[in-house]
Amino acid sequence: MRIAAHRDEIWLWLCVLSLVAYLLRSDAVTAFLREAARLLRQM
Amino acid sequence: MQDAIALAVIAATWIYGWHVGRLWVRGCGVRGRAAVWCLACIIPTASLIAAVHAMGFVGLFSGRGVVSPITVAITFILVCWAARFFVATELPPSTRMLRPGLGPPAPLRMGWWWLPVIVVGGMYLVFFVDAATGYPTGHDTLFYHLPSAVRWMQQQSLNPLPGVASDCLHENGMIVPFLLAFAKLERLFPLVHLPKALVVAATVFALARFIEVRPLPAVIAAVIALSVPMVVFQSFSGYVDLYATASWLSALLAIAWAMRATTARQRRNLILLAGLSAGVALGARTSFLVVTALLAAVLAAEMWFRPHEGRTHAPAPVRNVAWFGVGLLVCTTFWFTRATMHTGNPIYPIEVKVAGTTLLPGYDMNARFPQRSLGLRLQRWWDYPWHEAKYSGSGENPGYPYSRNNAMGAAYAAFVPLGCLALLFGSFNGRPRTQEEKWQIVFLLIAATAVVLVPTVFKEVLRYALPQILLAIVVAAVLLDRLITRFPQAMLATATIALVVTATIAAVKPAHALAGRIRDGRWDRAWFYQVPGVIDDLPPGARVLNLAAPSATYSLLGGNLSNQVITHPEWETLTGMRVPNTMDLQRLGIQYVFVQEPWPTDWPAGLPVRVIFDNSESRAVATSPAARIYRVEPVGYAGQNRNAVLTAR
Repeated sequence: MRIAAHRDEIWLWLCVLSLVAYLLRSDAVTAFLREAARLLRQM
Repeated sequence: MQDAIALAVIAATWIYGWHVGRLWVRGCGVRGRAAVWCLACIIPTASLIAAVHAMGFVGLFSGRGVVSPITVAITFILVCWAARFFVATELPPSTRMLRPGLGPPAPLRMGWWWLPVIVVGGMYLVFFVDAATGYPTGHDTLFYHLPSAVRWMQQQSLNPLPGVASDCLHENGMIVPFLLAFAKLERLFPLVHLPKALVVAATVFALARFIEVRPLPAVIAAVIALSVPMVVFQSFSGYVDLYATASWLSALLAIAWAMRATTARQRRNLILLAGLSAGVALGARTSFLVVTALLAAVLAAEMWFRPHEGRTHAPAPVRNVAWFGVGLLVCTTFWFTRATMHTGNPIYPIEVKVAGTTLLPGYDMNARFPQRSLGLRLQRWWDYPWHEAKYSGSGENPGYPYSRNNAMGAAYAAFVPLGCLALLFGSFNGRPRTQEEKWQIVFLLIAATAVVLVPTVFKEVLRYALPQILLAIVVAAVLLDRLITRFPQAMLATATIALVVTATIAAVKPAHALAGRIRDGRWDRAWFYQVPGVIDDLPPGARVLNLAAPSATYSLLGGNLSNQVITHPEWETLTGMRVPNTMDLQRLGIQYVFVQEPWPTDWPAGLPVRVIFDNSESRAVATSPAARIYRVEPVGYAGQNRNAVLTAR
């Protein structure tokens, strides 16, 4: 009953966690950061 | 000049056709600006394709080149007039609201929500500037899509290269580049599919509104759809998945409104419209057979959708599918006929095999794509939105995954899988009662087919499932609606961060390419493709054999699009030989041969060719492969001075 009352809060937090999971796991983010670090080293 | 004027007439007729389309869909009772606008595009789009196909049929059966902007413009005008006549007689303007109890539309107050819109708009601006100052890109675009369109222009017919089955693909997506090629408007090629991205956004918005999502979350759903890397990259390339997906989504929208129509006539005409749009999609990509069949299944389920109250006509599932089929054939019959005449398979390149016997010849997909165990495929795909590893059909390419083939983006990963799960769990509460709930379930089921199709039938080629991927965003809009209403600030922050991440990563590629051109101060075609400038100076109609990378094919057409290029696979099909030989070079009228490093070592002795260009020592970009152009000499030349370099620049 209590969970049902907070259903939308749970979905919101899951969305935030999902974004965090993306930022930590995505190959796109990794490749971008690697490239940015390479460019910074060159500078 | 004549061609340019004819193209202007075609553009004006398209706008007239769009106006006719607007009358058509309003007459069918469709309401909502986005729905009306994107459904109105179906009439001119399908009419233009039908006009080109009509001319194509003449060329197919007579063997003569009759397709030109002038003949297309005349036929297009006639088709649009016919559509206008049909609207005037069949569809008197309807002033009646389909659902009088609905009331006025909810107001749209964007406020700070302009922020994500601006972020995505900025990403598109970077892509636009890069595309507008560059030339077409993308492997498939340069290998066969655009070369086919240019070849049609050169021969003024849509006939495939005789004896080359691989030239028999469905190519509705190349009709506009084909017409632009007459006026040599090559610089517009990278932009021709950009309007389809806008249609996708409008359709996602309209579908979300159709299932009672409020305007603001529907706008955010459209923005998420535009942020998907496959969408933005394909908006500026000749890949046809986005083109076909936009038409397919429009067909789904037309079907959804058809199920709400109050009269049998409105229903029939919307279904006809859906068939036309689905035909545009299927005529652009054969893999859309699967999702087109899903639309037919939805039509057959009319009994389940239609509310009993207010119904003035009986459900007619068989008739629905029949009308859908009639519309479907308008923009596909030409391709089916052409493929059947040249390959014996109307749905070429899809091979149909039953119990080891080939019924319809085509590509053997199992031989074309690597075979992996089902367990491995599921392991790779179950969490794809969050890791976006670059899996392609032909192999694994680790590295930067945002491209025309891969990736869904951060906003998609944050909201869409969970939105689908939320709807799935919510649907366990009981049977859907309202029409909107039923449509939510149907959208969810269609989107879920991607989970099965990508690792199996689609051989892990993600872009084949683009319709389902975008439809999942509509499903997730239901959750977005709830969360944005209850937690507007938290949702705004999450959505903006996610879109900034995706926009930044996606814009790196075009920004890098653009910065390189600015730094070098070189904007010419030969520099862009890193091919010899002499390619642009070959005499019109020069026949060039491309033995280098397949994607060099388009660049070898030259700046005037006047060279005729034979690709290596076409050479192999036409001659049965891998390497050039004197007899076939003469027989096929090949005048030049283009090769890149590594240089071929297996050519027969005495081949009558002479190097006229070699940039091994003089190329400006050391990382690009060196290139050579050989001129084929008359019989009797017998290989004298084959490697004497006469020209290099």
